[in-house]
Amino acid sequence: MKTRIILLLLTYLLSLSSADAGEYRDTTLRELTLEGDNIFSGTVYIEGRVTVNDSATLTITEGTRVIFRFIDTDNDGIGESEILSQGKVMVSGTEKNPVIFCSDRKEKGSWLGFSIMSVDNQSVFNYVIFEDSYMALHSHFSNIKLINSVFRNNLRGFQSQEGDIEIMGCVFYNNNTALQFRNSRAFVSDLIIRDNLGGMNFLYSQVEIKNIRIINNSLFGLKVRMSKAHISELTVSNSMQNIYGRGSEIYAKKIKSELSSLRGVSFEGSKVVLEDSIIFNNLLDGISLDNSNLETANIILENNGRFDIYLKAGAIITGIEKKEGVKIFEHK
Amino acid sequence: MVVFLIFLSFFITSCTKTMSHLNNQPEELVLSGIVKEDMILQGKIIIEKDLLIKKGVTVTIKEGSVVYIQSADVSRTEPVFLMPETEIVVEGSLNIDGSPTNPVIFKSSEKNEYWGGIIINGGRLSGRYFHISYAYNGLAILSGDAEIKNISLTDNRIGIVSDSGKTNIEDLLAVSNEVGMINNNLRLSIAHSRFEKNEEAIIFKNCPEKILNLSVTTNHYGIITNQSCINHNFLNLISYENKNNLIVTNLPSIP
Repeated sequence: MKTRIILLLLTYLLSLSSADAGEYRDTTLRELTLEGDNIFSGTVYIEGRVTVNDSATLTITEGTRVIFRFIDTDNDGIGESEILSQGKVMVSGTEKNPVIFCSDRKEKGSWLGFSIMSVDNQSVFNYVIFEDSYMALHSHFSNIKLINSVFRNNLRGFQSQEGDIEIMGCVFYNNNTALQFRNSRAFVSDLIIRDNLGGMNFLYSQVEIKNIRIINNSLFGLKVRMSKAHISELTVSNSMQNIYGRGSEIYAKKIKSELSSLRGVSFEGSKVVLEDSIIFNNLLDGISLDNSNLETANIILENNGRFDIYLKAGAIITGIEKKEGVKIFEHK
Repeated sequence: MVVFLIFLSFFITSCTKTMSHLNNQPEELVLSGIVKEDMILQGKIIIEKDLLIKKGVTVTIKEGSVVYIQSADVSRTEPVFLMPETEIVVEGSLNIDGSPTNPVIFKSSEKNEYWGGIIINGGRLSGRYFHISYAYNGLAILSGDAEIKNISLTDNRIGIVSDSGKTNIEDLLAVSNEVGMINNNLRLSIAHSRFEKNEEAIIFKNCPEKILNLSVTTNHYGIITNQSCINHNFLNLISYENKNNLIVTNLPSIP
């Protein structure tokens, strides 16, 4: 019995062991802390948490498959295998040979996620596929560049808190929620966000958004709350709520919002400039303003179900010419 | 009120219980996190934080139960599952088994604070005689099946959202919601239901499969829909005494 306890203890201590710099190819990493400079290639299985120490780096080469074993000790259906990096990460897939993060179970929430925590140096993810995760890529107090990547079938796609983020050329689909930012600075361009339950969500952030298509997301397309946003070339289509802003300062140009079940664009307590945009075919209202100030130029409002413009609580809209057929309602 | 718990909740993550001194039975049950095994609940139930009924798990709430949902932390900014507000997400099965004299009640634990609502996300809801108030989306059927009878929805931002899945609703009463119902679901069947005193009673983005004896009265706006629904499905719908009875848009149907 005594021997067994000692063996168990040794096994446990080994499982918490750390590893010096190394190249990991076609291997399994279990409950490990990586030191120095590390490279993943081939197929790497992850069991439990693999930590990249704050003085270490992790490079993942093109074509690598990182497979997170589905481990669920608390039987909550959420996998527990993850990578937690406190050091710089370079994931370098190519168009032909992307890096794939997935699980041995094909279901949302099968692995916990790839988290980058408190890393000042920019980590880069290029041509990466994230699938079947709980929170696929999570940045906290970190600086990340994410390009040419795909997030599919995750409970949450990308999430940043207190970060400095660049995201370009990515596709998010079939996730519960696609992207969330809090207290972050973000530049987001050339994205397709489709068929998720929720689209893109900013809170207490400063953001520039350019050339984004947000389509068929059930609950909402774009939410901007208590943030400053500069938006151009944005198409939002077929959500319950397409574009929603609250307590924010927003400059938006070349916006197309259509086929919302409720409102094409809706602002509460916000200051907004909207130019060169078309708001049409929304079932309830085109533009809804509640206690907000909207300055417009060159806006087309067509075929919105109830009103093209709905004003409430002293909302002010300027720049709209009173064209025949534009339905404006002011709630007194 | 006699309160008892039929099946104990030690299967739940982050679950705490307040036990009474009488017969070792819980006075109230506090729940949050992921429900991992079947449960049958009755009495005072407090949903402290988001609750997820996972796939393969069945939760039954018996008649007379009152479910209090606490507000999300002010500092909370992201949804744990789907919404920033406290929510009940159903990926497994939820049976709400109220009775005419003892309905099941879902309400916010704080006055004038909204909670997220019950969200059916790939699961199944079977419910009768229950009431939902002060939720953002009282009942949102995003995907999955629902069989609902004798439900009342009051003072919600949106009473009910039906997106997809086989959904049968009978004897629904939606009163004083901002929006009574939004339907995107071609497989919705709704019968013997009333919508009253809502800001907007019904928004049909897609036409239900079947409408039978639907009464839409005394709302600010009655029905907002597109032409195709009028052509197919409105024979059994009565809309009157609304400030604006019917708005038919030229919006194209969504495939």
